[in-house]
Amino acid sequence: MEKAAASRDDRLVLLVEDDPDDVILMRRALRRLPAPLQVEHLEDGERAIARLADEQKPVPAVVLLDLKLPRLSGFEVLRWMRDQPRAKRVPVVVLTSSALKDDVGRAYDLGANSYLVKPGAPEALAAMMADVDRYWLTLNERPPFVAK
Amino acid sequence: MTIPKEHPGPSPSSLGGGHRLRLTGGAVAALSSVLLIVTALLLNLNLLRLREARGLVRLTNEIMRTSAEVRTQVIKAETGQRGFLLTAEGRYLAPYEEAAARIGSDHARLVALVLDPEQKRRAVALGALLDAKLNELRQTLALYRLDRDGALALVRTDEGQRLSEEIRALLDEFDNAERQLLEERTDVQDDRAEALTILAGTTGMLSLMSALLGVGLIRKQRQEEQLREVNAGLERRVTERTASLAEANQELDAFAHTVSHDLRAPLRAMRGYAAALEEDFGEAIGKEGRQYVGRIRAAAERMDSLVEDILTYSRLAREDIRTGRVELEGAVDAVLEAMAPAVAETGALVEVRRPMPAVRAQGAMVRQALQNLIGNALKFTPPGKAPVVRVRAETRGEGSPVRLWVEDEGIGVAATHQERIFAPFERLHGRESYPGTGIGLAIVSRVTERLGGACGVFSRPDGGSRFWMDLPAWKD
Repeated sequence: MEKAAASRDDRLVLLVEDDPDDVILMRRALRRLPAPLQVEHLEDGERAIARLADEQKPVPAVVLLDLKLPRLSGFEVLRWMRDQPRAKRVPVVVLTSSALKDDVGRAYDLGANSYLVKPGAPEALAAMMADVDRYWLTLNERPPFVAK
Repeated sequence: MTIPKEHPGPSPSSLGGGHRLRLTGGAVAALSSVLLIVTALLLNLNLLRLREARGLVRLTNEIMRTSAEVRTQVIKAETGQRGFLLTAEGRYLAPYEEAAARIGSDHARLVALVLDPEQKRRAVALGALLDAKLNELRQTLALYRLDRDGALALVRTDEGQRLSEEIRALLDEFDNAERQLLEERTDVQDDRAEALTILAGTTGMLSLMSALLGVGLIRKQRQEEQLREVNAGLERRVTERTASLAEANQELDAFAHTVSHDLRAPLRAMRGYAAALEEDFGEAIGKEGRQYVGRIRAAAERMDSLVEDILTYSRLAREDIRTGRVELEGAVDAVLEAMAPAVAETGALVEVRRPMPAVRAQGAMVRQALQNLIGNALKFTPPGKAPVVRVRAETRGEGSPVRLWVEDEGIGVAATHQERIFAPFERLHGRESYPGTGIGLAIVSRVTERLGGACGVFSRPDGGSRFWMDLPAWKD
């Protein structure tokens, strides 16, 4: 645990999502990947920020971020992250049900790395989770980790 | 909905006009007061002149009265002298003496009153004659007391008579001259007064006119100001309305957004759990259980596409439209490429007749309509028969729209239903045989309507359908 203070977990996905059904189904989809991922779930923006601010815990490989969240929205979480040395470079994949042009643009303006719309079909969700794993945790060159 | 964002303010020319009008109104009002002052001055001058004229008339009257007095006194003196000479009665001498005493002062007054140099000369001449006359009278009377006959002889010399006539003639001349002088003077005064009156009248009228004009202009300017205010108010209200409409539109958008995402979240969960149930516990629930799960999934999927179609349909009503050149051929190709799986699945034979003209439209909307038309052509075929679809376009002369045809050899539509099928949620068949939400043709209808076109169908049961869609032709 002491080493964790300045570490990054390259198989850890931080899932920020308030809909428990989506959480269960996404966890299931991520669990069923050939190489399972660690999933840590947070149900609102405040908790997400508190978790990312906690230096005792490892920085995730990627954040799957919903936009419509209680307490603090995904946009606010994103803005906060891009101001923090530790969280600044963590890839953020927005995963939400809205595809409004304004939302998409604003998310990218605030520094989102990707924007995905939750698919209706369960097969599509499984495929999307596999793609996220393949792209963001495997293919993508990881940004150099900054402890402070 | 397209809302004009421009709020044109009052045009510069109308502003300039108002300004000019205001200046003109003020200038005219100033002119009217200047004219009014001039009028007052002229009237005052006129009054002075009239007073002067009245003074002259009074003076002439005085002069005439004095000259008449002199004449009377002369006659009186002569009459008294004659009476005494004839009767030798002393009482006849009284009028003579009275007149002789007064003539001097009357004459002196006359000389003092007269202003005209000619009259002055006559008055002086009259003085000499009067002296001579009085002298003659006095002499005859003095002689009479010494020598009665001698005095009468002196009378008979006609010296007295001659003097009297001369005096009368001179007085006549004097009176006539005085009368003429008065006439001349009053004529001049009359002329001046008349001219002044006309001038005053004219300036008064001008002042009245310019006052009226000024009042009119000022009133007009006020009216224009009021009009401008009213216009500004209207513009403000239009702006407010536009803003509130835009707000209402935004609210509708937000509502559609909410409906879309909040309705879809539970559907996503239903589909997800049904899939999970089937995959993880499929063995345990048996064949019938798996069938039920399949039904749950299908129902949720149907609901999902209904939500999607309703959203599409309502978005079509509100979306801003920016039309441009759309190549029908390219649009048809793009739609067919997207629908390739469905075409392959049904084993359909799709023919596209090339080339096709360009239209003025919005690409995405045209593709949406095409997708629904081609989708219907693929769907509504008798079971077991591969669909045959023909897509073609025709230009029907200059200024006419381009008509795009999507023709099939499917089950067709009875004439009684041909209008109904373009309304939303209208379905002619059971879901089991032909699935769908019943919104496809309503979308086609709305697309063509919003792009300034039209759509329709020629069909008969079992004879295939020929759907058409008119769109404005592209003009370079």
